Amino acid sequence: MPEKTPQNGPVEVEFTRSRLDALIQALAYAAIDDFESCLSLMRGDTEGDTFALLEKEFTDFLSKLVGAKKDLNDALVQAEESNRELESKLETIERQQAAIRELSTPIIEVWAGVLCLPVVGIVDSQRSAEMTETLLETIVAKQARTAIVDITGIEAMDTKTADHFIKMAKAVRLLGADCILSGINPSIAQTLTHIGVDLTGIRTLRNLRDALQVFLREQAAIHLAKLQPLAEGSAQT
Amino acid sequence: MKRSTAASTGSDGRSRASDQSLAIIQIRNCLLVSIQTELHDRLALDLQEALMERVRTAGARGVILDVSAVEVIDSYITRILNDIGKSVRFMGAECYIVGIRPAVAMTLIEMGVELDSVHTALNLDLALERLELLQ
Repeated sequence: MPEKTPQNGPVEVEFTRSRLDALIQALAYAAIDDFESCLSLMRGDTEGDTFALLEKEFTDFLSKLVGAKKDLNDALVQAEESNRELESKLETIERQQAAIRELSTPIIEVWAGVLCLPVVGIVDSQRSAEMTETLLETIVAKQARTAIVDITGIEAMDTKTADHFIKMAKAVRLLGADCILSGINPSIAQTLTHIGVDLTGIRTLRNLRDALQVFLREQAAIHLAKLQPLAEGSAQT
Repeated sequence: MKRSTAASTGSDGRSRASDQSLAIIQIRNCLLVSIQTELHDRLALDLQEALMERVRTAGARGVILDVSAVEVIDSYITRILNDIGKSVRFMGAECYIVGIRPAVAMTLIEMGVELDSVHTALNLDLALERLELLQ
């Protein structure tokens, strides 16, 4: 009876010391990830009793575990490799971004007290903030009276970008310098009109040359105004 | 007892605030205030009052406020500065704010606060030059 229903009754198992030792040793090997020694231990001949079944199942389980472990290791190595690659790429991108940032705000002192900021490319909020900061600091450092922002290099402009430029001009005026916007192309002019950007208080001129000319003419007028009282005084005496 | 101590500390605080008041210097027909401390509300209000009186008594044509040492200008201070600009203009003078720091300018613009009732100049020299040209 007990042989027919092994689940319920006690099972006759032949325990030999060596088989048990082998199993324990195999488990120990498995615990320290030495699967080769473990599997070689379990490859003994298995007879048809229940313990042998356990051994067989254990071996199967182990070999599957070995396979899974190997796959995992391979995947890990691959992931690490791609990670390293990605990191190096990110580093390159960061370096390039820093280079672009440095190149993006060239401020030229085109005349005594006149700064020119030629803007080329796409203007986002970060770049515009950096441009404004650099421009303001340069104005204060060089005590420049006029800043010309030349946007010949910008093909199209949206509301946000226009807003950045207006903010920049207002900040420049807060410092006490004049801000001239030059080089607006027809399509930008139309866009600005269409979206109704308020450009009052910001001077717009055709190009850098005109802007410089206007500045020089004004300087000359100021000089004349300063000289006039002196001339009148000398005429009177 | 309690009330009297509170009153005395109150008067102390007021006297301290008036001790800290800013010097108004007259150069020709311009009034110059060089603000070397942080501008707090009380100080700004006192300055506004004192300036108006001086513009009247001195018959000044220009008022110049040097804020190159001021690191924070908030919206309330901006309002007071605008008010000073407007009142000074009503009395026939012009008001120049001089030496606003780049960081302060950027903050004001980001806050959307306009400093539109006063003129601005890069430095004292330029402000004096422009005031001379106006007269």
